[in-house]
Amino acid sequence: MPKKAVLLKSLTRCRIRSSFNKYNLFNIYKKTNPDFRTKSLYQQKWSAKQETRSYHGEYITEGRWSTLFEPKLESVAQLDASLRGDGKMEPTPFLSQTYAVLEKRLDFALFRAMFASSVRQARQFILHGNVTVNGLKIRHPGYILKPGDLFHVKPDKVLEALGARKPSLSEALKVDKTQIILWNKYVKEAKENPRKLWDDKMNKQKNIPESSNKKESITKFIEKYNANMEKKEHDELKSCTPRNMLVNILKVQASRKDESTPLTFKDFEDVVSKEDKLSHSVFKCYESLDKSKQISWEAIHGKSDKELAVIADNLLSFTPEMKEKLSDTAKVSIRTGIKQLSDLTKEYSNSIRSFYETSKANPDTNYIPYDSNWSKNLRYHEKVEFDSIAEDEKLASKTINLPWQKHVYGRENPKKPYFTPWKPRPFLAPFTVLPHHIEISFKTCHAVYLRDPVARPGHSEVISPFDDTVHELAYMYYVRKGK
Amino acid sequence: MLGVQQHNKEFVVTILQQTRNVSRRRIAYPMYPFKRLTRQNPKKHDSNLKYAMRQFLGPKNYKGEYALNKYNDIPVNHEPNYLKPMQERGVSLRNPLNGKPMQENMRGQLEEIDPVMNRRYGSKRDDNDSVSLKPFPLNSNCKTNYMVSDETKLEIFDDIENKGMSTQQVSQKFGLKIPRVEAIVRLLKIETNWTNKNLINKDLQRLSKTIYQMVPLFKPDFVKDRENLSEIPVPPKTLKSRFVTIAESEPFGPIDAANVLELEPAMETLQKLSTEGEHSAGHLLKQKQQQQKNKVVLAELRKGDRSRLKFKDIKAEKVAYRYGSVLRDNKKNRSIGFNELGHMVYI
Repeated sequence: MPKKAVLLKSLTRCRIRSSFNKYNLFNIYKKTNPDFRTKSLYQQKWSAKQETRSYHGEYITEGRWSTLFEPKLESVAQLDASLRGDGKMEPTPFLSQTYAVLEKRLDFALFRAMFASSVRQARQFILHGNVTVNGLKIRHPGYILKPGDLFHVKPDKVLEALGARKPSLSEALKVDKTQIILWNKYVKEAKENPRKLWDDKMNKQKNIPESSNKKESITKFIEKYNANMEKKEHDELKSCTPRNMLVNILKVQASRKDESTPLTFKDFEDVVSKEDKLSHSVFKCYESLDKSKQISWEAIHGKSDKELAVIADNLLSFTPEMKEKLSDTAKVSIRTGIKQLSDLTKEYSNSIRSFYETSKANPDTNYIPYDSNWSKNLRYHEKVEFDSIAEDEKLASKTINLPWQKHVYGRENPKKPYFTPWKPRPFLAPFTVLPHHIEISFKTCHAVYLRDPVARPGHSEVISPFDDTVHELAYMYYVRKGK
Repeated sequence: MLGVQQHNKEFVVTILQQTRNVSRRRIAYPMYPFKRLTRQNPKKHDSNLKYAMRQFLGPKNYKGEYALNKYNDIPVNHEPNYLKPMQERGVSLRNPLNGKPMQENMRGQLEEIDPVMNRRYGSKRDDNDSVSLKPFPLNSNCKTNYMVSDETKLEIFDDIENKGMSTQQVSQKFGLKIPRVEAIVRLLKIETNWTNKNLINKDLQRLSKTIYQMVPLFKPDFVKDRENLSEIPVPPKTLKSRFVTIAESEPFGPIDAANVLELEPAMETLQKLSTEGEHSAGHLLKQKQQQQKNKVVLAELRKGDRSRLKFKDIKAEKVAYRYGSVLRDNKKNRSIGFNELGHMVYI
């Protein structure tokens, strides 16, 4: 029987436990080495034993532990140590191996492999039949692993242990309520004052520290944005040929309502959408072409795009039939028009380049030039009757429709026992310690127990919050009977 | 205890209090300066320690996350985010927007403090930026392992399965111990099997990616990262001191010491390491073969034997109950073992 779990996380006692709990985190944070100076030797040994045992197998009773304890400790020597020649070898923390025997136990191996958030939880996983060793279901937390053993925990359990807690429906809806209010407020502000909000956002992005993980996602977004822009630029430059321009001009001519209203340069702004000033030269070009009377409104009115393209081709290089028919003045005017058009194309492709140059984001400052259309696509969230969906999960997940979340907060799949889509539990990072004696695959929740942990110069494979001096005293406490 | 004395014809009552041995138990307050509670209603049951913890964790946002605490961050650059209490003196909060440290002021509001000021509080060593692989501030001997990157794992798998290299060669090439190389191949086989069966769902992928980005990566080209392949278990004879009397003029070198301690030459040790034991190549296969060997009983029939049946001396307690031995079923904390089916048995 394990010990009862009482006062494990007491802030007053400040004992460090083998657990990912936030109280435990604070206890590790404020922990100082036990004060041995004012104590007698027995008191020193006693307090060292107290401290270390509260981390190493706190739930194992003292009697059971004393049968497990082995005074002979395992360590390794380095044969090539003499080859290094510097003669500086850190001392081997032999006595940190005092609790190495416990690391062979299945429950400890599970905790070290980060398949459970505490040794007590690992114990529970084993007792509930979620753990197999070499394909065999093992229900004993004290099962001793041998080198080469392959153990496995059901993935749902691991996801639950390392994931954030699943919120209850009422908690989740409360969060969603706030999220919707904040989103609507944001959309309102963006619609009212898009420029200011844009600048605020850019300033925020600029100031995010390098170490933040948001920085990474921003840089990725910017890279994607720039790649997209480059693709657009490439496509537009490719399509910026005299032929395409001519087709566009013909389209404008064809779209006139009747012949009586003359075209002005303003009608050609769409042809050169990236640089409106060029519409004058487009208009000039149109005028000289129009003089030839080959592109009169009657001639091209109501024709399809394909037919227009054929006409444009003919204008660019005359067919033999046209060469005979056309008068000299018409030919001259067409040629001057084409020449103007080719000059215009060159100019326009330059202006496309400069347009994309300015609209590309700066990867150094993460600044994206202002786009006046950005807030137009933002939509307010529809009004939600929270009282009516408080009981009905399915209805609730249909109702909530935020741009980043199309389900109730943390309950994408309410059947799972953890926060879905999965996110790490709070304060996971300070507890993520990869063991040296276990090789882990998190994708499949399998791990191989490589060997028993050992000590080598300057390094102890037994993961412990206490250093060698504390372990030494604890060791002295347990070998007292001359075992 | 009351003592009554007659003094100058007046009775004087003096209270003699028994001296108590002071308890050595101390409340584990943090060593750094932190804000204390002010006078409050005793029914509130708040304590200074709880308050200190609240100051350490910082406020929760509406999603219940401790967004201001730097230890809540999940690193994505393979640099672990371990506790560094010595350097920051209780300032565990920072503004996520600009990374400046934050602290609760006298009015109970959080405000940004100057990093330079914070450094004045903290220790003189300025290793805030150095990435520590030591998860516990009090134990410098404990380090996290390196994760073998996915590319390296695939390379190892390819070398062994397709190119037919031995585990020993691969181990030399990458600087990983043989059992680890074998385990990597074994786990990668399971992973491909699971991928083919579509068993690795999105949540599992997210989990593995999160942890992959949190831990330091193993770089085979980096000498410091490589595991020491020449490690041997410490010979037990070297753990005790041995005294030899020799003449003052007699030379005494490492070889003489090895002779005194009855140690074998390093060449032999290394050869043994590569051919036998758990560090040798294919030790898992050997283990399996050995287990199979134990199952099969080969009866040997020699010339002149009349029958295959033979009697062999064996200790009674190995096969059955030895008459007269003490049965201590009710003994507390009996040592236990496990049989091949994973069932617990008393040894």
